[in-house]
Amino acid sequence: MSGKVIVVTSGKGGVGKTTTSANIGTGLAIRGRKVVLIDADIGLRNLDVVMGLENRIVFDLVNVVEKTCKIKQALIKDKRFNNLFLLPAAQTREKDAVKPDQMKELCDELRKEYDYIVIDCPAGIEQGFKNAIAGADQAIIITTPDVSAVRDADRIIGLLQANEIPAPHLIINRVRPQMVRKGDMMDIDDVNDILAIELLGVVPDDETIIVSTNRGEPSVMESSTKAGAAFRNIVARIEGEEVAFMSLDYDLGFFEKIGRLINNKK
Amino acid sequence: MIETANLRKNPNSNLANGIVIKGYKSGLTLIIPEIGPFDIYMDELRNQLDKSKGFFKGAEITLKIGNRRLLDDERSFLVQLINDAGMTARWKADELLEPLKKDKKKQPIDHRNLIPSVTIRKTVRSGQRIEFDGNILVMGDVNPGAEIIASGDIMVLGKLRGTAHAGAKGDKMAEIFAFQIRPVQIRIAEVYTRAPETESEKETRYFRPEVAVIRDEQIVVEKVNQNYFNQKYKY
Repeated sequence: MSGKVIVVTSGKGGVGKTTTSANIGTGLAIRGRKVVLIDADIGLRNLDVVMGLENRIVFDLVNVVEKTCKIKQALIKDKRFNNLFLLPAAQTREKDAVKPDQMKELCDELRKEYDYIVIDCPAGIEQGFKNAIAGADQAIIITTPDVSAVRDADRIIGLLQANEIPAPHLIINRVRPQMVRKGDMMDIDDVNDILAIELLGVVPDDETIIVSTNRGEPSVMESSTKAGAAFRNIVARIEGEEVAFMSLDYDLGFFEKIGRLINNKK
Repeated sequence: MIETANLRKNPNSNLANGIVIKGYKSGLTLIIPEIGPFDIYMDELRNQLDKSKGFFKGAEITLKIGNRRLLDDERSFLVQLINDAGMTARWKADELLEPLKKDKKKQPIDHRNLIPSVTIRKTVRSGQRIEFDGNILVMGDVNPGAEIIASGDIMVLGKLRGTAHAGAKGDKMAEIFAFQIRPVQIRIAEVYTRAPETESEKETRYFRPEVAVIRDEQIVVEKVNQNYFNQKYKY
């Protein structure tokens, strides 16, 4: 069976594409899948840092498409999992160093040997985005619950449609249950109301993400954290399992819970 | 002249009932049929007046022309003819104004039935733009950041939350229908309006037919009730 190519994209920058890519990749590897993470953000590579593999880079994506090295040489094996690899972006080149056709060819080559190829897409809708989606079978859209991120996600969904990539899935990142409850933040229904695509998961805003990102250890490895648990659920859903959405009400006080029960009955 | 005679002989012709001059208590009335060529009726009228040889002299005659819309030339020709026969013409007050008013209402509607329409079977998303010289029907939502531009009407069978411009070529009669009208901006012909800055929770959940139209040079969004079209088209 040939592998699946999943592109992680958002349009807007800073919503958590790279963190999500790292976590999905690592999560799939935990489940024993053979995974390649591709950093398509040429010139602004980050995925290697988040994975804690920066110091092992010798060759990169541009070297591979220019055929100055073999794919095998450029793939960096993860330090924790033998079945997880990273294909880093070139830091000193620009987005147009790679063409969509080359990217497609690379994906087709990789899918012969690996179960999942996860592509971390750069922000924006220009060349980098076009490269990243060229070989993809499936897309995951990341958004945060704010109006501008949702607007950009909507734009991306339209572009994916135009490129005939099947219906994308949605991850809503950095949800703050407290703020949602007070009505200061868009809730999941508000986001869904506009985007109307299948929800893959909701990741609560979690400080441990920042720590794990800086340490180069994806938070999916720590299932005790809220974000880690959310990413594990997301990975399970990617694998086709049906997992109930976790409640975001865990930090409600006793009286608040009673209050909500009463309000819901009205 | 010959034509007029022929027409009168032919009972099947629509024009068989030509002009009629009738004497009522209130005075003389000239009835000119609504349909049919005006110049032929004028020939007929001149014939009858010639025949009457000054019988009507000094009389006041009321002109009934129904819904016929007269050009300025035609109107003055008719009045001249009557004056030549020594009569004074009086327009039935309501008829002088009414045909013009009705015409204004009717013409654009008839005209619109003939313009082409396009159907969009998807949700129009941010950054997408649909432009069409005619009517646009969207079977889906129109999301914020999307643009729909039509020279005719716009109908959205979903939520309209992007920018919509109906009557883009200046048709102020254009309408925008949607099941929820909460646009970023809405334009009809040259009039445009923004959504109110604040909206209540109740408003955002409303999902029933609404329409945006121009009333008194301003765009208003109204709920479409069951009598909307009854009130619009009186028959």
